[in-house]
Amino acid sequence: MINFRMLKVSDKYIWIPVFTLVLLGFLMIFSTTRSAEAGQFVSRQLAALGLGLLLMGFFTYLDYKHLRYVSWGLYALMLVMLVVVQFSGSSAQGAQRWMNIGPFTFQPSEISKLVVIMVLASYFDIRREKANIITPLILAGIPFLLIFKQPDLGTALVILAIALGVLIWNKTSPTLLLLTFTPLLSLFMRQNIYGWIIYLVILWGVLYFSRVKLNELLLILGVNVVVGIAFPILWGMLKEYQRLRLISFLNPGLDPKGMGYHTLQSKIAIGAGGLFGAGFMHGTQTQLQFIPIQFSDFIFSAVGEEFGLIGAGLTLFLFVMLIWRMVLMADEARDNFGSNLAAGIAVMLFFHVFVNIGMTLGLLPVVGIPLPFLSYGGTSLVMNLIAIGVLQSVAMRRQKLIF
Amino acid sequence: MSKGRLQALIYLLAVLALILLARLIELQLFHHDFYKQKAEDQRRRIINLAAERGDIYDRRGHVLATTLDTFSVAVNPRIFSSPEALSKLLGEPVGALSKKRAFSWVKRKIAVELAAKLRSAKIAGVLLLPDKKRVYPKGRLAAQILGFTGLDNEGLSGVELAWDRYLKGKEGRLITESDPLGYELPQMPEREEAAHPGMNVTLTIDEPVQYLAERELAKILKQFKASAGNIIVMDVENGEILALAGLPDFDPNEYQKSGFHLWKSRALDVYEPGSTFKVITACAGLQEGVIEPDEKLKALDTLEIGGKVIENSHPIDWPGSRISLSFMLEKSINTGAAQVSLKLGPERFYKMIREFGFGEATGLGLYGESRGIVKPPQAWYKPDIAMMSFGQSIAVTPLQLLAAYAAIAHGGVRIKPVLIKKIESPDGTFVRSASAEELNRVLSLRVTEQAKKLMENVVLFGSGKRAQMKYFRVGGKTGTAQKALPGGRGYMKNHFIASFCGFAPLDDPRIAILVLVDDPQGVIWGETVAGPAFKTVMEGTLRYLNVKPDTSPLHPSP
Repeated sequence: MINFRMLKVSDKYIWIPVFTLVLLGFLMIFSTTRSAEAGQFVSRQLAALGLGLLLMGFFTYLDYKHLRYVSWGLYALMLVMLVVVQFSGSSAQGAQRWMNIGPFTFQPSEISKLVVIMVLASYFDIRREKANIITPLILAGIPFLLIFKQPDLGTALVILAIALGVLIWNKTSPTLLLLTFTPLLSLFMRQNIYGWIIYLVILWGVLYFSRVKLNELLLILGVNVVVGIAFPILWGMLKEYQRLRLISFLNPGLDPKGMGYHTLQSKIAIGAGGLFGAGFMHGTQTQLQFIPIQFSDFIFSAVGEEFGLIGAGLTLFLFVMLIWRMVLMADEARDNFGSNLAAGIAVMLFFHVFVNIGMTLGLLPVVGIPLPFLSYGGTSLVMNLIAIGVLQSVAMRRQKLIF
Repeated sequence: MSKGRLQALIYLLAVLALILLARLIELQLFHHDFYKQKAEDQRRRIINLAAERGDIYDRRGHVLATTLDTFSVAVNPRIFSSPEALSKLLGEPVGALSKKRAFSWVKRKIAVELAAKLRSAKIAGVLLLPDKKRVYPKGRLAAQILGFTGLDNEGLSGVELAWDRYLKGKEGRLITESDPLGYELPQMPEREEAAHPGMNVTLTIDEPVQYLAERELAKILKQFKASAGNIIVMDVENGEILALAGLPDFDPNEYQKSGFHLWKSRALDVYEPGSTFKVITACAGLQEGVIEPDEKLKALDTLEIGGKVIENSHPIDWPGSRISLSFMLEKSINTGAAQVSLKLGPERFYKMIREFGFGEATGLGLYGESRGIVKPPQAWYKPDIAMMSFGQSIAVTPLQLLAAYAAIAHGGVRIKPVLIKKIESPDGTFVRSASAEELNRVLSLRVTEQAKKLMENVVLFGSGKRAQMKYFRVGGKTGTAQKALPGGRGYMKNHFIASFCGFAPLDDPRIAILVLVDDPQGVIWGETVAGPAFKTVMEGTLRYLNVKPDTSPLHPSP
């Protein structure tokens, strides 16, 4: 039963940016892949769009409350797929990420993001006041480790961001914030062992005089110590190319044709775009493929070159608008589960957008995560559209809705 | 949900969005020009367009060096797939034709017929690009003066090198756009900056005279099995070099096939002049008034100075008698010349040597010209003053010696040797002509006349008899110099440089010529080896230049 009246009350400030961005994505994929096997990329993406729109519609109409218990089944299925892909998946560019089902290939890691959001939302909804911090971290931690091992650093970081985001959304205690941010400081200070020890002493002092409860104090300090010790070990686990990426981020000029090449070329393309851009299909850097596989993670540089500051700024504005509406929906959701679903999706989108654009602008290291709705990639597009469907399902049933 | 939390999130979102926006503005507005330039540099390819190099002419406009249009072959490996076909046409091995870079030369400056064949073969990925080829239509003629150019038409030797600045012109540029792999993009705009042709250089060389000098030189080198030689012909009125022949030479069209020691003219390198220098000694003595033309010198078989015994090449007929200055020159008597320089003393002798231009480069306009080796008197060993009087212990270039003789011919005023007559841009907007440049007065007119008479006597009665001409009076001096061992360790036993230097016609001298033969075999005497060639070249040149014969008696009594 399709209820068109319900569609009317869905949030149009989510529909507008989504469809605009999808359209822009197709334009850019067309532009960046023109000289490749013509049409192949666009038609494959179109197929994904068809499937995505269908699923988006389904999830829009489906009352999200049904996801509450289904999510645990999906979570189990996801874990199985992540394990299976380790052994039988097909690999590309040094990572084993793809799974083949008949003629289709898809990335379980892309699916895992939304599933982790659902399962975390479900957990907080079921446990309510009895919810703790450890369980969500474990729920997110298992897929995080599996994905990190693929290796897919970008998606793993997205899972981590989702977990922290949902945690913060549910417990706005300063302890939790400290727990989120101090490990990053610990990582930074770890470069010098003495500096790190001094940092830990100062941290202990600050916590002690802030009258933080003893068990929380120990937790925060513990996490800081663990991160500081684990980092060199994890660093050793990183693949050579990942390490090089992080190093090259610090100084892209060092090796313009090597690892910093991507960032440098991306900056050149965007900078050359100027205020108005070179025009659709007229960006020389884009058309001449100075940025390898630009149609995937670096598609924003094509927007920047061909549509200039105006196009890039507008794109950024659309994303901000979308994220903002999502946060608002999370705030206005009729129940805790819906609120957490929306918040998780908002965090996911937020992380994707800011890390991806930050990376194309040379502000962040190159971690391979796509720009939602724009980047080429079927699974990514389908999952993002499903996420929009889920969000609209929350939006349509929010408190202010009057039937 | 608390309002505060929502607000904090809005701020966080806004701040992060503003950071990204600020970065976008930084890249796209503030640094736009920088990145635009970088982007352009990345995809721009510059192909240099050869400028038409200026021609080199002889004084009559005969082309000695010019530039022809030709073609060079390059390949674009992306399209190029049949190296076998190209290999067959070019005659290059297949291996040399497989290139990796997007644009690679395969063969430069191919023949026009071959280019036509290649064009009709239409092999994919083979580019025929217009190029310029330097050619020297007269072959070996004046090769050491002209020099040659390299693959990109840059001057590498001779006039081509020394006057490259004028000859080369300004290279043009073809700017094309390319993708990151270096392939040219036909759809991208091209910009062409036209090349500006180089200037034409006219030499003072007179082709027929140069030819004559080279022919005669070749003849005597063959006759006396000599290793090398030079003939220089100079116009004493304006210092212009009409011929500067040097053998063995090379073909500038295929200079790579010859040894580099052949590329430079030896007329600019030092040698010990030997007896030809006695004229300088005699002139110095006359100018300084230490001796008069009719004054008598002692006829000595040997003269000891500072432990060194000076000897003559031939025994004196009447030892102990007295000889005239003229007789000293005619018979080339070393002990006589030494007496003159001893009368002069080191200071005055040195001053006169320098005034004749020895010890400084003539500034002919070619690279690598030697200054000669003229030590100041403080550095002389005791015998040096005597040795130098007959051209040992001093090193000069053939050109310096000829220029010194020319000063005598030119009324005692030294004149700068000139090789470049005119430099002119093809459109005529730039013209620079050389004019005769008189330097210092070396000898008074009176001494000049005395010297000419003495030199004529050498030709009439002495060692220069073979240089006598029917219609012209000639003055000159022979030289038979022992070749110095490298490093100044004495002299070689059986190696000589035979020479003759002189000028004509004596009434109003016009042409000075030096003939120099390195290491003649069998006969070593300058008189025999160099004299006849001097005569042939002098006669030919004077006749060719329509010089009026002398009116005064051809064979005056002594």
